[in-house]
Amino acid sequence: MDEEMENSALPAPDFEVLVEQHYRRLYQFAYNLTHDEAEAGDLTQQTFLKWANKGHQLRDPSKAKTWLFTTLHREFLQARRRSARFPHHELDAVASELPTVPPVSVERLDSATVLEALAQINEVFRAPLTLFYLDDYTYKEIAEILDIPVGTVQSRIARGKCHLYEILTERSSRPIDKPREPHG
Amino acid sequence: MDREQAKEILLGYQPGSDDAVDPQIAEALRLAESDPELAVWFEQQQRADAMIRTGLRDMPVPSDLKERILGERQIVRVDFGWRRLVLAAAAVVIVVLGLARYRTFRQTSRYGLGTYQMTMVRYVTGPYPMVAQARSFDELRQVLAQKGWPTDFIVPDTLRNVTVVGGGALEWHGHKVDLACMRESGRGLWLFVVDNAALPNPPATTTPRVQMVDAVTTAVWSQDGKTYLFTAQGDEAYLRKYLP
Repeated sequence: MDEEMENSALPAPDFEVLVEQHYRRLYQFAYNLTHDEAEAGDLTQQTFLKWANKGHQLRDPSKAKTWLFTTLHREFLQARRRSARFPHHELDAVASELPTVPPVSVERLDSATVLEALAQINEVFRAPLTLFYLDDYTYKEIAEILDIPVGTVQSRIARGKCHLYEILTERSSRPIDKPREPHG
Repeated sequence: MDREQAKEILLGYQPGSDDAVDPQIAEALRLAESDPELAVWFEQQQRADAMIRTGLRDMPVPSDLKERILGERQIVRVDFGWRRLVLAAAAVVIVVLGLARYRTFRQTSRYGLGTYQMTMVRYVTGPYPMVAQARSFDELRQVLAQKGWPTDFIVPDTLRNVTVVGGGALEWHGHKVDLACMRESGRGLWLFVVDNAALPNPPATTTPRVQMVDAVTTAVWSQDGKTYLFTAQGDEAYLRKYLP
């Protein structure tokens, strides 16, 4: 992404407009990565803080949204690498076979159900999947944001979706799901 | 291309996007038109995707997030139309502020309110030792005082009638944390209190802010220099019954 920055550039999009347009989706992306409101808020703030410092250097203002998502994802990965509790898994080596695509049969979904189901999916599949659903990103755009090849994006979305469909179909066949709570 | 290969390709297809010009996706779409079974699957899949998409986009966003972002930006705002000398001075200020902000961010990430909330919630969601058996807040204060822990926390009026079962004397990066454990109608309730000085970003107001932490409903607020964190076995509506 740094190669897209230069010292003299076209005027960057207005900061407040940019925040208004993208802070919700960025926060939702961050929440799906972290599963923590405070951490997601911090990540979103940090991303815009970086934009405030460096955004004016972006050569192509139309790339502002992609820049924001890319930066947020990088910040997330850096934070994770600093934390031994969340090792980064690279699954490409074991994901070479075609997935068995399950039938999907869900009739109704609310936000909480979707978030809980996504939370059960491995982090490497969750990031491209969230981008796919949140902002209708294409393979190519997701590859750019996550800095991985297009083929890898296709593979991860396919496997992530298969897993997601399985979880949702299984959930829809269960009558009640009791949320996790602190013990008494 | 067989049916399963077409399914894998179509799983990531965004209808209406430039993806359709991709030769592989175009072939998969043609197959979906000519293969009735694949067509039914594709339709089901798109319907499910639309529901997932809506569910994900409906996810709530903190109401004060936009203000926080805009407020933070004012600190690093620069007028690039100023003369070179002023720009140089501004650059120095920005570097200093940037370093300060970065340091604050690092501290906030490691020792901040979000991490504190998560740590405390995880403490009571796992097995934990009850260091103090107490049947009232007065008894709890006596036990905490004997251990050298602060006792000047304020119990919200809404919690005065719940049953106190005990408490704990915890530490957070060298700062003492009081824990009160309560029960009401078979449900557990917990109140953590720590000095605001223990956190780089304590809550700004006395109005409780309700947040989900690790899928558990919590509320935080600040009062008289202390940060209060409250959680209970229940949803947001249940939690709010006990908030000040």
